[in-house]
Formats: sequence, structure tokens, C-alpha cells
Amino acid sequence: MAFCTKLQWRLWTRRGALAAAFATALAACGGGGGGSSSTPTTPTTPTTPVTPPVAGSFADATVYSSTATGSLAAPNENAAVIASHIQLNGQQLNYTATTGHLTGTDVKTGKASASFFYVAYTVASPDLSKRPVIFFYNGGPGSASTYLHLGSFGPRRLVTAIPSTTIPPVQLVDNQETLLTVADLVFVDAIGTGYSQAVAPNANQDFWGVDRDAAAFRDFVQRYVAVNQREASPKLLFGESYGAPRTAVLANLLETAGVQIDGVVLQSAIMDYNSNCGVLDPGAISCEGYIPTYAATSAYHQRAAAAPVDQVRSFAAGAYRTAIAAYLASKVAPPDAVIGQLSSYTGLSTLTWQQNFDMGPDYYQKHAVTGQLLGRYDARVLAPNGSALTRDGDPSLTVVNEAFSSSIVTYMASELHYSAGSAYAPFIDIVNRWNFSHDGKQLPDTIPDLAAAMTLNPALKILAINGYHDLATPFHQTELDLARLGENQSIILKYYVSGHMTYLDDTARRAQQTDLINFLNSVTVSH
Amino acid sequence: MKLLQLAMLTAAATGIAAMTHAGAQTPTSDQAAPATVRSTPAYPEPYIPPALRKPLRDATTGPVLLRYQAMQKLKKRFDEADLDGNGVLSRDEARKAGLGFVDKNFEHIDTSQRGTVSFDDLKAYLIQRREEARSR
Repeated sequence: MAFCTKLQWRLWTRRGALAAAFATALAACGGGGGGSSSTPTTPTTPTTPVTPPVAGSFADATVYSSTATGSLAAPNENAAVIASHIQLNGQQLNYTATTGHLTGTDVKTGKASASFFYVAYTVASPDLSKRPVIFFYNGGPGSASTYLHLGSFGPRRLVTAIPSTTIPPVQLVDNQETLLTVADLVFVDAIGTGYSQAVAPNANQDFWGVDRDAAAFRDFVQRYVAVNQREASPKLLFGESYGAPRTAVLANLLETAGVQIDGVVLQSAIMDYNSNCGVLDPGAISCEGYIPTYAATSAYHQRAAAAPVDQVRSFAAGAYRTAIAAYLASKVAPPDAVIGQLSSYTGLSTLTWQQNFDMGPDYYQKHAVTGQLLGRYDARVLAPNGSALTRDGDPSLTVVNEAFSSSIVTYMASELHYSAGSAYAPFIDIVNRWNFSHDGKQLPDTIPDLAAAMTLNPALKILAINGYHDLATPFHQTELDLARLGENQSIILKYYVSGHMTYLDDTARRAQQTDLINFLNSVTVSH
Repeated sequence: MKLLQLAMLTAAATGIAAMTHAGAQTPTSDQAAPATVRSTPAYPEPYIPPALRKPLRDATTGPVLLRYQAMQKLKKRFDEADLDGNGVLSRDEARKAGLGFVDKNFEHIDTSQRGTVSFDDLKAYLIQRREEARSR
């Protein structure tokens, strides 16, 4: 991918990275593969910045590996510890950024599992029992936690223009929506991603499965808590996408291990892989969970009149559910009234719905707006068929991804003052070798894990974050999955006019910050 | 792509092994099993391989069965920790098995102060906690 952009070049030279980190970052430009659509300008001969090392910086000489057999012989627990600050509404917020590794150890065997790479943002607090700590991670499986780290609620944030297709200049700004004002934030990468790696005799691939992955995360959280003496602090888990089922499994493992988890945030969740028709064979199950997303998105694009979400939910769970069950079981032709309603909710013709009664998100993404491809992560984003923005099959990803994958590298060098002897791995291609089996099922259903965590800690609070225009993990499916837990005051669902990464939208992020602060307050009170 | 060439030269000159993410420890077997590092996701995530795209046909579980499943998860861990198979756990057995929950709350679970806890003791404690949480 187009790593070496003009903007990135400016960023490096402006920030004056450390010499070694500078070279590492440059070398990362060779990674990735694939064509580049941007044209870097010819730079003048770069003069390697001669900057004395910043106090607290750390150049880790270790070469970290993302390969299946990657197995770290000599893990270290060193970190760059940098005093930093941002401006929030004219006020300075001082904090410490700690970037490095901690070694997770399986309590049962006493053996090291993995060396986890993390970035922790902490603010000095007189009473740690009142200061929550939140552990953030993305999903994939195979994603480092770059999006949450640089896009959501950390102290520094990448500027995005979502849902516009304009790609703004790569710019990190002081994040006015950071949660660092109310909690300490730890961003941690899964094994094989970022700079996280299995410790010998384990290999990375040993942790590429639902259970082993979550167990290793448990070992990391326990280590972080012990090293930083956060036993008394309220603890929260914040997982996105696959990170949400990881959170359910992890919450139960931590509770079982005696680490109380007070709250979990399920950001655009896929709690049960057996219920999301978008990841399964076409026609395998009902796509009921997607109908309200289709309706909201067609209304957004003015292809249909806006309908109240509750009305569409009722239709999906009522007439559509009955008709789709008969259709999937024995190809019973759907009633005209149901087809007509689908057509009026989506603006797609009755013929289209007759031919695609169990319409999956792939089809909708390509046909909802003639001549355009809708974003999968954020269906508000449109790109003309065949245009450059459709190259990844998701224009809403393409407009932001390059900035994230390149900025994490420059940010570590120039602001966190951390470098390693190898390139950072934003994504690794491991989903085909991931062991999805869990609890005797081929595909994970992690609602029972959430139930188990709630059994061990009846005060556990759950916040599910949803984007109305997310075609990957639709909000109504998350509602159906969580409804299995029964009526429960501890489960809160919030919705935003946004996509999968709800926080990339400026308006949605502001609203989400308010909701998260309220959630954190409720968690801290009952801690 | 002059900048890219420059980048490669810079990396080579400084000897920093960052061009590929191949592990220094296991270079040969890595070639047989590469996990490509990418700057974009390889698949639209969440994603599952084609061979796995068959959902389980059993009905998804509701609140009552979920409570049972939750207990079964704990029972499994309890039984694994019970190395001598006597049906009860000592505090030491719980600790060694990583059952920190039992270790931490041992006095509250062992209401009869026998020095060991049965799974029924544990269940009773969990029900009590649930009632406490409800009344809060």
C-alpha cells in the first residue's frame, strides 16, 4: 500500500524522529505490497535528524516476528516512559505515555505465554481505587489495535472526514474526546500483530484461536495490573468487532482468575458468529439482523423515506421473520406485502427482493445505490464503481486506512519515542488459520461467556456501541444476540449515526464520549 | 517510486532488518508458513474462511439455558482443579489451578469453615452475590 506519501514525509521531517526510528519507519514503506495510487514527490536528500534521545525514550533492539512460528527467546519488559501533555479546552492535561512490552504468564503452568506490546496513557491520581483502567483492542482476528488507538479516545487522534470521501491531510491532533480525563487507557496488540509475540517455546500460531488468544490476553491484563498495582482500580475491557467476542471470553477468564471486571464495552460486536448472515454462506440463515441497517442506509441516501427504527425492527422480527423462515426451510414464496414493505424501506425494486429475499450485506452494498459501491464499515460512504476508492471493496476503509497504518509508525517514533528492531505489523493475514471453535461449536457463540462473567460478577455492566450504517456487524443483530441474556438493567445499548468505527465520525464521537463517561461513572460508583 | 528505493537503501545501509517481518529465530519454517504482514486487512472483517461458513442449526440459547451453560463452564474449571478427585477444593488446589475467584473469596464460600469447598458451596455463594447485587 501507499505508505510513503508526501504528507508522511512532512510529518517525519517536522517531528524530527530519532535516527534509528526514522530508518525503521522508512523501511516500513517497503512492506505491505500492492499498488500505490499516490505519487510521492521527489524529496531532497534527507538529512538524518541529529536529535539527542528524549528522556525516557527506548530503542528496543529486539526483532519481533508476526510469522506463524515466531517464537521470542528473550522477552523484555522495558518501555519508553514519556511525560506528555495535550490541550483540552484551553487547559493542559499532563499524562505519561508508556510504550513497551509485558510478559503474560499462565498462572496454572507458571510459564510465559506471550510478550504483549502495549501503549498505556496514565494520569497521576491520588486514589487509584477511583481511577478506572480500560484495556482496548481491535479484532480481525489479525488486527493490531491501531484504529482504537489513534481513532477513538486516546489523547491524540487522527483527523478523518468520514462520511466524506475526501481524504484529509494526515494530521494528529489533541483529542478533545479523550477518555484520559476520567480513566487510564491501555492499548494492547494481539499476538503476531503490532509488536506482540509468543514467548518460546510457544509460537505465535499457538495463540491463533478463540480460547488461547483470550487466555493470553488474560495473562497480559493480570501482568499489567500486578506491575502497575491496579488491583483496587475499576477495570474495563473495550473490544471492537472480533474484539467484542474476545472480550466476552476474556471477561469470564479474568473473573474466574479472580480479577474483577467492572464493565465491558462491546464496540460493533459480533458476539455470535452463527447469527451474522454476512459472514456465512448466502442463504444459510436469515438476514433479519440487517434489515434495519438497510432501511436506515437507504433513507440516508434518499432512496427511501425514513422510517422509525422501531417500526423496522418490528417488521424484521415479525412479518419478515415468519416469511424468511418458510423461505429458507422450503422455498415458500414470500407474501407480496412483505416484499412490498422491503421495497419501500430500501428503495430496491420488488423484483430485486423477490430474487434476493434473504439479502446479505454484500448484495446490498453493491446495489442499494445504482452505479456506486457503499462502504461496508460505513455505508454512508459512497464511491463510483471502478473508482480508486473501491480498490479494497470498502471505500469507507480505503479513505482512512492508509493514514492509520502509516501514522502509527511515525507516532511511535516521534511522540512515544519508542522503536523496535523490526517493522510494526498493523494487520496480519491469519484469519484462514484461526481456530474459531469454542465451547464445542465450530464458530464461536460468546453470549454464554458473557453470561458466565455476569454470574461471577453480578455487578458487571455492559455497554454495546452500535453504528446505524455498519454493514459488518449490524446493530439489530447485536440487539438480538444480547436479548438472549434476558431483561437486565446492566446491559446498555447506544446507537450513533455512523459506521463500524463509530468514533471516526466527529459528531458520533462526541456523543459516544458523553455516553462512555456516563457509563464509566456508573461503573465506578458500583465498584 | 524514488522514495521507496531510497527507503530500501536506507534500511540496508543501517542494517535494520525491517523490510520483512520474518522472525530471526525461525527463518526456514517461516517460509513454509508465512503470515503476511499487511497495511490493509486481507479480508473484509469480521470474516470466516469459506469452509466454516455453516452455522450451527441448534436454537440459540435463552436466559435459562444460558445460566446453566455459565455454571457448566465454572463446573468444568472446578473439576479440573480437583486433582485428587474428592469433589471438594482446598484453597491451595484452587490457587494452583488459577481459580483465583475461589481463592479470593474462599472464606465467604466456605461458610461451614471446613477448609474445603464443594461446587454446591460455590453455587450458593454465587446466588447470594446475585441477590446482593439485585438489592443494591
